Amino acid sequence: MPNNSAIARSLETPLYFKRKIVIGVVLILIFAITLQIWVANRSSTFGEKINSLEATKYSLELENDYLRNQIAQKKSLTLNQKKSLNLGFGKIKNIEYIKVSPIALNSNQF
Amino acid sequence: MRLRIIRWIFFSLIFIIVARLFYWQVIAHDSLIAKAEGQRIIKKEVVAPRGSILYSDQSILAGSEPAFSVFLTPKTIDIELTKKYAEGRKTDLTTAAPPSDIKNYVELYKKDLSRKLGQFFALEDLKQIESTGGATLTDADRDAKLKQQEDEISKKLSQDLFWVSLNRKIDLSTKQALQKMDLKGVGFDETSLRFYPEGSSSAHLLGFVASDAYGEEVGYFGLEGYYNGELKGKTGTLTQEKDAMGLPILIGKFLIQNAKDGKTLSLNIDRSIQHIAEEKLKEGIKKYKAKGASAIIMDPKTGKILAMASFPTYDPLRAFEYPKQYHRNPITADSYEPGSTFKVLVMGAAINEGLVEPETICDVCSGPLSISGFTIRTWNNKYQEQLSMKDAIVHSDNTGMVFAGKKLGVEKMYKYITDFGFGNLTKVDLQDESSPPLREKDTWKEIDLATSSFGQGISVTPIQLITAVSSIANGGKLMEPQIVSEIREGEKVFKVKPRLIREVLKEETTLKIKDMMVSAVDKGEAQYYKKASGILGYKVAGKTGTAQIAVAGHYDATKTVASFVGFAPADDPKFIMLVRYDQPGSSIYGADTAAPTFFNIAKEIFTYYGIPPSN
Repeated sequence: MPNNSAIARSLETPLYFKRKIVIGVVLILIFAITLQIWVANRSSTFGEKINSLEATKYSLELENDYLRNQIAQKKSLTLNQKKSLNLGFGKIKNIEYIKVSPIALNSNQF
Repeated sequence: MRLRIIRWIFFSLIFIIVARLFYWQVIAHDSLIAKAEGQRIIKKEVVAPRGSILYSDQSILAGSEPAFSVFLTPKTIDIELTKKYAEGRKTDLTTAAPPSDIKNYVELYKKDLSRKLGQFFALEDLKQIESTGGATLTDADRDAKLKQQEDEISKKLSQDLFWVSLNRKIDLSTKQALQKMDLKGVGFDETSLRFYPEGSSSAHLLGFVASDAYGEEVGYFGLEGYYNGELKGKTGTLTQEKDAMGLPILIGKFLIQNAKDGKTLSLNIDRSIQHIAEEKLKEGIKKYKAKGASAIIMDPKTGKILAMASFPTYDPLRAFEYPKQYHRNPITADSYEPGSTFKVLVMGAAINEGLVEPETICDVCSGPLSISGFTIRTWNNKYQEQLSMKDAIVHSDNTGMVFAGKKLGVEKMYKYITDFGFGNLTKVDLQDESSPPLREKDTWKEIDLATSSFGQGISVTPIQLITAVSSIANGGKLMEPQIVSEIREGEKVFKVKPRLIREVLKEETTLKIKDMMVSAVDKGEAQYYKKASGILGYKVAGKTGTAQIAVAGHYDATKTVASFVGFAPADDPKFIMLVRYDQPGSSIYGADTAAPTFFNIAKEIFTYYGIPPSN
């Protein structure tokens, strides 16, 4: 036959566990709600960040395109010809080609 | 009883709620979803830039730059101004006293907007015209331009539409200037604009880009037309969920269909040679008072086109402001009678068939020839008793060529003409190539055989002629002319390989013709110009051509197409070039006009390639 204290313990145990479960669930719920609020808060502020990152990317790409085209413009032969003429450069009128001497060609033999 | 009434009211309310929910959830489901998505989901077009066109040194010939197309929102102006007026708020209307009724109020704003925009765009246009060295504009021209712009914008603003395109593309700085003006009812769409660092250089080769009937960008003429499919990109779309502030939601809907950029074309065109050819042609057209001029330079061994220039030309950015005939590339689309430049081909055919040799003496060349009632004379009416075939080429003697042509006969002459590629497209990768048709072989008469032997009575295009003559420079092998060397799509590269069409002449024949052409340059009418240009030490093979132009069924002796075709160094040709002047005024002869330009360009190319003289 079980004694009185043992009976009382067996009656108390489920109640003890029930309370623990309830507390656990409540804690999880609080954590989940906090997490949800935190994530919602973070994601709402991220939208602005994404927007600003997108804007930066767009302006950088735009600038890149312009710079690439500016380089091409500065490399333009028509433009450079005009510039060099203004700077006093002129075309070479007569080019003299020097025939390589056979002695010079064979110099490594000596 | 009271309980019953309450119950009925209660059930009725439940029914109304259920009915309403049923309406929202089932009947109006789609439209409400669309409405909600319309509020938070934003669809945006991702512009795909058109592919670039690069010179052989990979510098840009035609690129893309970010641009913005301007549009108006007339209906939004109506709505917003009506709202503002009703609210009695102060508007940004710059007109004096506020109008008495709303209609006048909106009209006045639109009038003011038309004036401001008209002024802005008219000024932009005038700046552009002046910067490109266009015609000097009078005050009347300026006023007319301003009025035209104002009227155009006013007409568009009067339309009962939410969105009206202004058909204008502007760059970033112009957009910023417009934004500073803070005009209501003006918006911008992101797009791209063609960019030409060398201005109107190579315009005929490039073609231009313009909008078609559906507002889509399409390439017309030249490379832009031929490679439109490769050059045009595929616009992408971005679908994104945004919050009430218009900011993207991190965990929201995000769908992207990537834009596919247009492919890049890398050309065989050498930027320096192209520049040299254009500069020399510009000088020549002025000096020889010609109506038009063109030059084409090719590598005879591969068929790679190194330069292609024609004048008068146009600005590809403002192509529609030029007459339509300017858009055609004279090198691929204009047919002309080649005159004496054709003689080298006929002589090549006769030698190849073993019918004549360079030393063969013409026994009928001591005077003018009479054929079917027509008299064939030499260009200077001077005749040689013992004219050899080599002399016929050196002195461009028509009678000697008739002798060689007769030996060939219609059958063989026709065969060689078609083998050299005449009567067919050369398949050069440019959109506007055309080929003048050859007369049917059965309809050829004796006189046709005679005239075609010296390049009259037969029509060719410059690209056909240079391709045919390049076979002489290339040991008899006819190569396909090619502009594009590579097509690039990201990391993928498609290389265009040289293509042999056929072998027209034997190598030994070409050596004989080359020798005749070298003598034609050194001993013919153009010899003084070779000396004058300072390239005496170089072995250049060439032939002048002066063909009269047929006007109303007769040849006009004062109107000619003067040309020169040649290659150098003759023993190992690095380039072949055809220079052509349309109706030169200072002299009608190719020897006095096209030949000097040829030698001037050749001299620069020798320096550029570092080719030393052979002597």
